[in-house]
Amino acid sequence: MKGLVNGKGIWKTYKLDATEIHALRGLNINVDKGEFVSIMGPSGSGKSTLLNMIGCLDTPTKGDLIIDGKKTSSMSEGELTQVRAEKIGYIFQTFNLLPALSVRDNVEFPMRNLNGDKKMDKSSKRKRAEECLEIVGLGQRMNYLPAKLSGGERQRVAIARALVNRPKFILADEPTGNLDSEATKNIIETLHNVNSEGTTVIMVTHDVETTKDTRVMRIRDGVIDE
Amino acid sequence: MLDIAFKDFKAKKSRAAMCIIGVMACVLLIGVINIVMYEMQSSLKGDLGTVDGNLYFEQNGTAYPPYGSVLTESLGNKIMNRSEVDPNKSTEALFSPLRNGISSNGGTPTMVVGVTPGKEQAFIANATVIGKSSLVGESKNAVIIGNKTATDYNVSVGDTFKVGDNKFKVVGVMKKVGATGWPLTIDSSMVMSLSYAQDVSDRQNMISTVIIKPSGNYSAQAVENNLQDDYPKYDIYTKKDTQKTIDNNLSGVMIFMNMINAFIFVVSIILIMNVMMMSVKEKTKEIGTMRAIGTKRRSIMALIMYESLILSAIGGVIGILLMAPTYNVLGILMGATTQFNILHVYQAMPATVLEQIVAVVLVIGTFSGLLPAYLANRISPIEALRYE
Repeated sequence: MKGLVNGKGIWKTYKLDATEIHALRGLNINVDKGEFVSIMGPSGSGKSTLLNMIGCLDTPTKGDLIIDGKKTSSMSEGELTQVRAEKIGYIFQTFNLLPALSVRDNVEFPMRNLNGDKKMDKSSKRKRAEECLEIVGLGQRMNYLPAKLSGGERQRVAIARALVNRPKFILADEPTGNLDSEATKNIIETLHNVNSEGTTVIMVTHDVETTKDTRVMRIRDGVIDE
Repeated sequence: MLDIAFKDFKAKKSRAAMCIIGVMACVLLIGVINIVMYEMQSSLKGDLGTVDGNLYFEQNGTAYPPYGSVLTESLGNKIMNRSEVDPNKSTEALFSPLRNGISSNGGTPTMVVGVTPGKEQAFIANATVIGKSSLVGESKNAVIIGNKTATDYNVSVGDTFKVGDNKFKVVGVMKKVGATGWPLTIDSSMVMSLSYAQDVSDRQNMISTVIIKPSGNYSAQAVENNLQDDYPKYDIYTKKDTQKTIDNNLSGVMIFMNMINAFIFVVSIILIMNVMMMSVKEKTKEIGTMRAIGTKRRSIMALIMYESLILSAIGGVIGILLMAPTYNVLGILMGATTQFNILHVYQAMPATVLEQIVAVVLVIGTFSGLLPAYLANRISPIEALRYE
């Protein structure tokens, strides 16, 4: 099967006191390897819930979501954590870098979460982190603390961090939401470069400009309307 | 995660400083209290050790030094003439705090110890004496003084000094007997002839005790039994009373000190736990991020525990280093005239005190980190990522 992310009839229901809130209502989704997919939709449409599902932070109440051939609803919490560590690279709107760590240490951090054959020694981790920082054009800023960087630079560090474990796909949650137009252009370009190297990118965005040359999925009332 | 905990600690300096000061204060207080308890115990043991092997015939209960006991000299003579008593090594003795004497360093007064000249060894025992160790052939006001007495009155062998209306001529100075900073009775003593001691203390024909060395084949137990049978209204102080005296003197203080220790300990844990809880709250988003990118729950717990342990360890080391100087400063504030040697305090400190402090640091670090680590472990990554 070519699909990297396959979801069929996904429901997510939250209980608020006696009321049931359906964030996703039988949503279907398919993302193939190597694609750059943009998910758009108004606030409250279910974007974040879908992103949490694809990011293995949450599981469907009903329906099947298959990530790289494995059904997430049948995975234990430990297995979901492992999938997040090995197969998914996360990019957040607010960058979410660890403030006490240098740029290089931030990028190295996800490699601590690898287990078994994927575990790396210290020098390999360092080399890989530097390699990823070079890819995003921050080879000169490795020893800086995140606080010393501009927003665009911080987001590029986040992209390097997302890339470092060679994930199956990158999940970007409004990666340009906190950036000016110049930095936005730069980040989108970087994501396209990453995608052109073979990494699948799934991006949630409000900005139509950033969806150019991507497959756009529109989500409304908990279902995808492509 | 240990390296991350270190970097976190360096990045949040004010929070770390609060924690370190908390642990340091706790270790400092517990350490000083433990040293005080240890010194008190050692001092009392040392004091009582000087009576080892002797029996003290006393009145009004067993105690050492027996200055509360009052006996007539004639009764003393009767005891001295008994066959169980070695007349050459035993002596009638008068113990009395010196009137107008100096009472420094926590209240140990200069103790007048009157003995029959030539029988000084019954009290002095194995103490090394600079000058003369016997009063035989010396003037009536000749004294052999303890190390602390020499310091208090700033005198040495050959000096004559006056306290109140009484003059004393120093013929010998004993080297310090007590192993700790706390002076023993022998260190604060002024050994003189019994008759002069009676004059100085205004206790003519009175003595406090008979220091008895058993004669011939008599065991200390046999002497004690015989004397107790013949003099049921009097008391015999022996080696076995040592522990009883220590317990009587220190049990109340020990319970009180240990209660203070426990209180400080609990307050410290709560304080540091609060700071660590604040830390977890501050780190909510970071924890969410770590969880989202695949960090295991146990690694998050380890991070918080490491941070707590690092802070406790640093506070603990600083606390241990400041313990002896604090002990000295407290001593000076409480009126001590002599400072204890700082190195001596560390050297004399038994391993158990240090072990206790290290255990306190570890327990504080572990317990204060447990609840925050547990809470951090329970943070949902989805909620944490939304946290502002």
